[in-house]
Amino acid sequence: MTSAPGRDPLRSSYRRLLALYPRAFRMRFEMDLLQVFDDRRREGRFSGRWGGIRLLAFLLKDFVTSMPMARPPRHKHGVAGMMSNVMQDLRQAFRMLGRSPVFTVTAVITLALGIGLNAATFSAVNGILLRPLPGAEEPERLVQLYRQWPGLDYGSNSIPPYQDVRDRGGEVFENVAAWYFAAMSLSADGRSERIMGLLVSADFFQT
Amino acid sequence: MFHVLVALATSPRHGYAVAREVEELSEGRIVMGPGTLYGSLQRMTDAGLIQETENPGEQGLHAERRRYYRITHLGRAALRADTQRLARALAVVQERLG
Repeated sequence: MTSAPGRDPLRSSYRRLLALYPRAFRMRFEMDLLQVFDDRRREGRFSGRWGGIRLLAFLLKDFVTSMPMARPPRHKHGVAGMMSNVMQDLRQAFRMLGRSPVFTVTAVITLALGIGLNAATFSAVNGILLRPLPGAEEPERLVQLYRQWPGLDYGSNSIPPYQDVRDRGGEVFENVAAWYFAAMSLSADGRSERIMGLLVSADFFQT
Repeated sequence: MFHVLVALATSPRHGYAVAREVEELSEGRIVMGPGTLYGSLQRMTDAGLIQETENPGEQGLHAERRRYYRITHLGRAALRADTQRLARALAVVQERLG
């Protein structure tokens, strides 16, 4: 059984909870919110004792979720409104930072690390992806061929496929070159050092 | 917002009817509580997507006390645009999945 709206303690509690909503929202919608409460309370899943507990949990979650929506919108229209909102946010941010120096230091260090990491990432992306390949006259015409293996989309080619492409791909490719990473020794002034080098086919630089 | 606009696309409804329709449209995944419901309705009204309207002649429980909403031209245009966007996204996904 569900108590009559006037005697339902859950309804009274919900009514008291509504007092925490912003005044304008409460004044405008209090009766509607209670009406929806009554409607929900009549649903089978929210009636009776256990239904009441379910409804309580549902309403509390709804209250927390809806609180930001119930606040009057701060945004004004146009550029002036946008700048006013930005300035308001900045003032608020500086006030908060001034109040807690530890947080401020943490925020500054985090920002510094973030900016540094971003700069490093951009340098890598710029070097690898954006900047033209050094030494290539028409880098936009260069393509790299991979071989698909089970579980590997970009696998390397062996010499026979390379030879096939080189010998039969004349209508598609002007030149075909191959390379292979290899460990090498570099000696100078009586000292030698292990380095990574490339073994390349004869037409590598022409390509 | 999308579901609320769909709920109001055919006829004006009061808040609770909107919530029930949204629940049905979303196959029970979206259950709007009172605050979420009227918070959304307020924001959508402020945005000009919906507006309050007279009771369209319903005789149900407390019908005379309820607040009714209807979709505006802007809301209908927004719903149409969002539907087209979703349709395009769906077509792309279906094409990619084969």
